[in-house]
Amino acid sequence: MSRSPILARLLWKDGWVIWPLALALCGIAVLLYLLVPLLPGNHSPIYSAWLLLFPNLFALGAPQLQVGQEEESRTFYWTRSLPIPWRTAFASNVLTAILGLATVWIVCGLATYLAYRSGDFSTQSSFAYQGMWSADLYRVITFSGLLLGLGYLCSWYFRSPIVALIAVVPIAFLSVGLTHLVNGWVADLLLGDSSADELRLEILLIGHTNIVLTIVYAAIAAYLARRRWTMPENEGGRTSPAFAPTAYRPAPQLALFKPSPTTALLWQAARQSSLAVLCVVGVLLLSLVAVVVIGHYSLSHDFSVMVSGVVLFAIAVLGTVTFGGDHARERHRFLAEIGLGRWQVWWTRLLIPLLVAVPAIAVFCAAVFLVENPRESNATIIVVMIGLAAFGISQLMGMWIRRPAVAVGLGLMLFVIAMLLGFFYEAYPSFLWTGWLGIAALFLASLSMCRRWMDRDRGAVYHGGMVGWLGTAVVAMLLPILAVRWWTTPAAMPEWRERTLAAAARVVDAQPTMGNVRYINVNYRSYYPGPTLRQDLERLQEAFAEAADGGQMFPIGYDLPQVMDGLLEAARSSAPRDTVRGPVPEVFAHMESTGGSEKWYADLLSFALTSVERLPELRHVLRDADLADQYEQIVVAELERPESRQILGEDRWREFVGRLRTIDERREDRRAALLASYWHYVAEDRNNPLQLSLGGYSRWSWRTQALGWERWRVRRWMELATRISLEQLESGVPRPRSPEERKRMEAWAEAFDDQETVRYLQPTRYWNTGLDRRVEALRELGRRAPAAGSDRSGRAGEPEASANGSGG
Amino acid sequence: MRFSIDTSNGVPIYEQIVRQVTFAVAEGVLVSGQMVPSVRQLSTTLAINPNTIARAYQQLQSDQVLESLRGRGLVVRADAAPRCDAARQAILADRLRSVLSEALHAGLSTEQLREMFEQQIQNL
Amino acid sequence: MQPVISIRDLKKHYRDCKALDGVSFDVPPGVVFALLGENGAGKTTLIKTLTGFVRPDGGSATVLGKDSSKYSLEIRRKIGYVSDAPALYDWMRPDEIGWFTAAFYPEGFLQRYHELIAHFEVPGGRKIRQLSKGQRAKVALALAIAHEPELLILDEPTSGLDPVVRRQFLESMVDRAATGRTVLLSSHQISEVERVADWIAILHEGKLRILQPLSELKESVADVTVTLADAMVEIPLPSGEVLSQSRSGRQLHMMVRDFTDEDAAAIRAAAGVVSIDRRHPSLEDIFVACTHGTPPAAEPSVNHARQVV
Repeated sequence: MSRSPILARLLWKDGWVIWPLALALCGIAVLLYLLVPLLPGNHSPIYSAWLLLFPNLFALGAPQLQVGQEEESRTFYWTRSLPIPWRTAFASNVLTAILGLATVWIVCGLATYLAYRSGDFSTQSSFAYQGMWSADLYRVITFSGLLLGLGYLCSWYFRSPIVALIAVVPIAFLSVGLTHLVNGWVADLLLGDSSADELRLEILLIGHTNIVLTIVYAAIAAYLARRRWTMPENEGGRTSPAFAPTAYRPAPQLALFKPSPTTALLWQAARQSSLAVLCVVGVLLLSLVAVVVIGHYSLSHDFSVMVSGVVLFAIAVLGTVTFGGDHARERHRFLAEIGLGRWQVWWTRLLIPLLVAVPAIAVFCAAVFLVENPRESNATIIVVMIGLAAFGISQLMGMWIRRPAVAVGLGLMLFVIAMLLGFFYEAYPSFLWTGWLGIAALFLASLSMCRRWMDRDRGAVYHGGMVGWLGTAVVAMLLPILAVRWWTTPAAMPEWRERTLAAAARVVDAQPTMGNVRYINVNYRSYYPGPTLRQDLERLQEAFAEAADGGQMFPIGYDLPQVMDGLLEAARSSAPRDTVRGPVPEVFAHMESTGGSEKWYADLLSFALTSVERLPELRHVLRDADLADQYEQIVVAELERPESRQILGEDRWREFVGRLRTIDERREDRRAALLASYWHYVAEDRNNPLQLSLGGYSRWSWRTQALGWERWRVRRWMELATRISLEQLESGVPRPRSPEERKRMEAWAEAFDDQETVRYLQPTRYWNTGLDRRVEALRELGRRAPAAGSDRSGRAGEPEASANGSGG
Repeated sequence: MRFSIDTSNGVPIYEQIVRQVTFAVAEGVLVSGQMVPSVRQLSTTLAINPNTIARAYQQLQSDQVLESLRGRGLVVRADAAPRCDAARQAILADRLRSVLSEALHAGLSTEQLREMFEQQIQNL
Repeated sequence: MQPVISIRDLKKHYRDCKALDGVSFDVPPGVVFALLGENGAGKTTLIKTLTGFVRPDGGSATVLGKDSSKYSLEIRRKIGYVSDAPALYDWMRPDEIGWFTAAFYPEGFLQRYHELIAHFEVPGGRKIRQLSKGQRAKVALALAIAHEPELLILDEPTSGLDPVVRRQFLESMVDRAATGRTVLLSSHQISEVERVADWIAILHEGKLRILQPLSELKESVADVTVTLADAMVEIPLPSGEVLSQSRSGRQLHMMVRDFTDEDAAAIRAAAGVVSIDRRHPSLEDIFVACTHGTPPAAEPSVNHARQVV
């Protein structure tokens, strides 16, 4: 028979075996790609997953599926008896695996490329050094080829796929370590100096070494394949007959005491899983040595990821072995047939793997914390949860799926999907505890399905139940978040909304909401003047002039008030009374050289008051109304000081006091700003729900804004906060730190739900500073006679004409 | 003694045991006073249902071939031998009759039968 | 006396076939009860229902006085069960598996188990996966009977085993019956069943065709061969149940239950009948007749001459 029909059929058979694996991996890669826009900033874990994890998972899994499974299901002996030359079989295996690997690489590479092209530049960490994309890609691709060759070697040598899988890990580990060490040394030898070139050369050398090792492994695998294929062995691979009819010899009399059920079950579970557990312990020790010895010398992210991956894999194997040992060859039926209860069987299976999983998770922590910071909030808990989740998922898979290689693979894939859910926790860090619910659900699942598993009930109820429990785990994680968010969302207020929008519409129609404003930014801080001090101050003086002129553009700077505070102090402290805490010498010197500190003082106050007067008519925006309040507060604080009367002189001082807003004006400005802001918010929310701002305060946390329920929740809170503010405004703003004031601030905090923003940009925060009372007190002070001995005109010179007469 | 049971010859198993015990007593293989194996023993040896054995023994007891010895089991009766002889003869006569009827059915006449009979006796 | 197993109108159907279609019977204590049927007739489903591995769609089954769906674990602990492909921990040795199983049964298990293993001549020092098929079956049997259960259920225990091992199994079964315990046996080895069974139940397509003590069954069924003058002769139907019949040329062959002498006389007297011959069938013949023979087209309701198909 000619060779090509045989090859074609073999290719078909081998392809049939591995296409589910390739499809699943490509599917998850595509899923990740679709989710990338929704996920927060640093996407380097996803790039690592695409380029490191998926192709290597395929390279690990394909040989086991092809060779190991045939061995397990005994079809190998049938295949071997057919007239197929071993070379053809081997070639067919390798060809289909390479094809599958290439497919996975293409899909993952495409996903990476498209994500990178769409503007996501967070590929810095992980492994892709800048400008060395091609070299690094070469290295990583050749590594997955190496894994493939090694996988074939181990699967042809070891009978059982799970042992082969475990064996691949340390050998791959050693290969990588050796490669890095040797090539680093070689590159160092070849090029002395230039570090960038050295790095590139090293990477290329690693790639070349990978290819060499791949060829070596493939050759050994071919030799082993030939040996297994052609050697005359009986079924089971023993060289001596299985049941030599020996003469019967009565066994020596044994101790006839019976053990307790728990002891017996634990002994059986321990003996059965001993090989796998020992292998896992070996891998853990290796990883620990690697972390302790090598990790301290090279803090590379790549290394940490690799070791973490290895330990996670070991944890997955541990989990699979829990129930997988009894699942092989349906040994669990023995326990079912003698009528054992499921609770007893369940916990005796779980005990030893869990005990080994504890140090495994510790080693996992050690590997992760090589590059991450353990003191970051919840970091340890998160890492422990990840380890337990890997164990939980794989123990369930071990119960669900009979073939151990498939169970481990599926478990790892589900684990990757579960980690996607982990991104939720980045958006809701206070809900991390729901992860425990998910993990508990995984263990409850295996307990619940244990009876059906033991009784070999593999019907629709069993499979449906497994899927159902996995769904329950997901729901257990998400439902509390949803529930708490829903529970804490305020009720809708449709009538209030209608009324308020109508009132707001009148305000918006009455006046233009956006005037000609120009934003200025000043770097000066009173505690650190900085090199641009002079430019900053010059810019400020220009701004003052512009404001006083009533020019085309009005200058706004949201950090100007802080600057103003410092400058006022500088200008004020030129009075000889101040001794110890003098002004920053440069500032004072500059002020003196550009018009004198008293003029600066008056200009500063005048600018603040002008802003207070003009902002409401230029912009009906809540943030600018708050700015006006902030200016007013600064001015009032200054005018309350006795020095200000002396510096400014009585008339100027009285003029400034007169320019302060009345209670009604202040209330009206605030109300108009709030209403107009709310009106614009409602309009904007309809058109652009992902990017929202209320009254100039923008909300940046898009990670939750991508979810519909979050947007709905934010709308409700915005309404409630607006309503509370309006009501308090009508009835009189409450005193600071009163319960009403706290209620208002909490409402705004919930509406923005962004700790960063809320911390320094709280809307209406200046409403409670008692401005009304203080302004009245100032006016009262002004009506009384001036203090004896003070100069009526003060040092500031002639009062300038007011820009406008809007003062009380 | 040695039993040989054939499940497919149409004769009920208990009947085969009864006959074989009877023949054994008649031939002297089982002597009077000799114990027969217990029901449990015999059933295990032959892999036959004990109820069948029990039925056979009951029949043998009612045929006065065996009697029960208190505390020890069943033994062959002292006067069983002649009875068994008679029983054997009856069985043989039965067999003879069935052979004869078969021959008559085949169309042989009484004369031809007698010739055949003489010839066979001479051969033995 | 309380029956050991009591089944009432048991129904179970899988996707497109009825495995059990209203089966009812009782198993009295102290007997060897044989369940016969073709592959797929419902024997294994019935046994799995008794042990609680399968939930019936209708009807009830009671084992040792307890309902099989609700108390399935207790039942499994009390009885001995050897399934058709016993799952053993093949990495254990016979002694180890005996020690392990002894943990779940009362005292005395280990002693009896070792006696049984010695009696069966199973080498105790080799792993079970290195034992032959027969030795593995003996280990499974020893594990099932070492705790002296009141009821022993065997699902095709001797399929694929050599005659020596089969003999040992039969001896064990018979021994248990001799000590007053009950054995429920499902098997294809009809010759073995003929030796050891007290009661016979034959299942066919989910229904119970025969339920009788073996001795009665064999006595009551007659294997009747009627030789006819020519192929178109009609004969009167017998009064009993005709299990199967077939015609080949001039001979009509029937398996009839409760075939009386009057029936024989009536047939002999009918026109065109040359001769009639009746024999006692073997159990295998009865089994084949029940499961594969073509029953008559309609019920023989009235005893007069009718067209025989």
